[in-house]
Amino acid sequence: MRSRPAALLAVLALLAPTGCGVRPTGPVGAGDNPRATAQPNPVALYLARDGRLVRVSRPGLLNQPYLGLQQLTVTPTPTERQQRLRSLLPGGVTLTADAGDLDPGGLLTIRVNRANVNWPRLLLGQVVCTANAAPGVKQVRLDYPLSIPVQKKDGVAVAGESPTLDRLFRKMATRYECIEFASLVAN
Amino acid sequence: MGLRTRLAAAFVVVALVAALLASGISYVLVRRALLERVQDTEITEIRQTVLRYAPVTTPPGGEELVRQQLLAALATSDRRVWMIDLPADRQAARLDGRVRTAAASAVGVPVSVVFSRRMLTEAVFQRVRVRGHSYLLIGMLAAQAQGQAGRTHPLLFVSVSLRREEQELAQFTRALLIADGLAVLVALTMALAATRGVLRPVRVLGRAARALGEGDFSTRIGERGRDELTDLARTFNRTADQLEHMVGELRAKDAASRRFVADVSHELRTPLTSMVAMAEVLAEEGDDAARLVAVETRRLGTLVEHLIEISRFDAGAATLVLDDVVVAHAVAATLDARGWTTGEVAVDGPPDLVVRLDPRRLDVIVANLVGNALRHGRPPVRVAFRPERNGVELTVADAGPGVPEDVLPLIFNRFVKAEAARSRSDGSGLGLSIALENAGLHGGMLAVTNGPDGGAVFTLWLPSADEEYEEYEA
Repeated sequence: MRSRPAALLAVLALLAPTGCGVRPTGPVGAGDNPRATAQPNPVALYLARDGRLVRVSRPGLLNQPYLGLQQLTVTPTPTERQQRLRSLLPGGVTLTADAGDLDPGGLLTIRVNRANVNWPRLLLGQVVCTANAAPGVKQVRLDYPLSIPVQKKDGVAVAGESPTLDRLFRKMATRYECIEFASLVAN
Repeated sequence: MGLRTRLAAAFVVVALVAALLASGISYVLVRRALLERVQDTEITEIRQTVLRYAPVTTPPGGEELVRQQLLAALATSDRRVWMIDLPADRQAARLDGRVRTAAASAVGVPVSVVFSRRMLTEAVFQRVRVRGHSYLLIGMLAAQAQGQAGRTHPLLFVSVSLRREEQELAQFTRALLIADGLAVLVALTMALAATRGVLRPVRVLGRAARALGEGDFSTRIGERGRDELTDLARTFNRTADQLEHMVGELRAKDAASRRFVADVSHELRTPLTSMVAMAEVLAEEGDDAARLVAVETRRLGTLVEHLIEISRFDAGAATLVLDDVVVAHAVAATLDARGWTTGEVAVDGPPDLVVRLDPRRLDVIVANLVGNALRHGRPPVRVAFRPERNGVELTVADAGPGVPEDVLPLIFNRFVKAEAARSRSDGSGLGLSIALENAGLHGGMLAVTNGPDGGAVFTLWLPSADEEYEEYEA
């Protein structure tokens, strides 16, 4: 009879350290840190030197086919600077394009955060050829906000006359290909 | 504690211990498997995501992109991710308290110094309890290829809520407890069934043994089954058979011998009566021998009368003839009839005590006790009576030497006499037996002790019959 509580106690003592629920632990090693081995395909972009466009290569990133456009906004690497290569894109301008911006016909729409883009031909060629270098892109179109002066007539704001707006829209709808700028590309 | 309780308790304890042990072990195993599974899954997934999105060479200014991609890929509803880019050199110096605090507040789990130190050399995980819930904290540094000096390495802190695992464990615990409870219930039921099977025959056997002990020799038990208890029952039945047979034989022999004594006594009475009468006539003529014959013949007559009386008791033929008796009168009448004077016998008791009993038997008892006191003890003989327990208690004490100690327990046996020279006593040796039988017939008692000053003290208690009948009716 006396051994009965003793046996129960023994069982409880056996189970007690295991406890209930999820027990906290100290830091436990889980193998080596991951060491990067993946290197996605490099991206091509065009930088300017002496009024010509030069094709350079940068390391790519996964799922970032239009990384070249982003790379245009970044300061060139020291090596490129030594070769006097530079990007003509004004500071603060960003170019964005993602997979959804490519239509089935191979037309890529690049969003620019500037209104009424009216870039010099060399800069336009730099952007278009960089975008055109990405796989699957056949034509390039720029998309940006339009801004027109507003005239006040009898205290009511009236948008500018259609010829201006029309011209702006037509310009924005222009489709470019790198071929058009072939004369600017250095061999 | 009864056998049933003990057996049931043992069953239940064994079941409880076994169930608890089994469920404890399975709980520990399941918990380990569950936690290891979630740890392995999470660590593997994070590691693979890092390997997928962190390139060997990051394009210039691409760190933010990598960071966003990693965060987007790792974010789920259970996870909270925080990330910092550590420069490839002086990592340990950069991983200071501020980083730990920022990481802890972003992932909601405190990050210890040991943890962050260890992160620099290997992937680390830790289970932490925060506000009553468990979290899995995983730290990982996405190391890059050597020779990339100046580059930064993303350092990842991921906390995974283990709430789902906790719920699963709680459910599992509940299920285990229910199962344990059921096991105990089943054990209890089995124990009760088993003990019932064992204890019922034991109870039957016990009842039968008690009945046998109380003299019911016809008691038998059913012999069903082929277990040890059935063997026991069979043995019991055989024993009861033997006992019944033997006792029956003994009773028959006893009855036969009693009948023989009764018959002999009856046969002797008639010729003895004639012999007593003839001896008296002869004794009156003055012949000494004839006088001796007359005395002995009278003794023989008394013996035969006593034998007949005793055999009547033995045959169960003795009955009470009840009457309301004034004890004082009855005692006085008894003494008068025997010719015992108040000089020899002193009587003391309430004169108006009335008890309902058989006056003839009271007379026999008192006469026997007083006669014994006069014959074997020495005067003065004191007879005292008083009301006691719905009846009368009557003591007869003498001033003689008392009853020898070795005879005391045997004094009421037949033909036991205090004197060694038994043949010289003129008592029949049956008087006290008859007195005891008479007291017993009333439902009373007769006992003997030696008084403090040496004389024998006989104490008789007879209940009043009326009271007893009233008690029966009540």
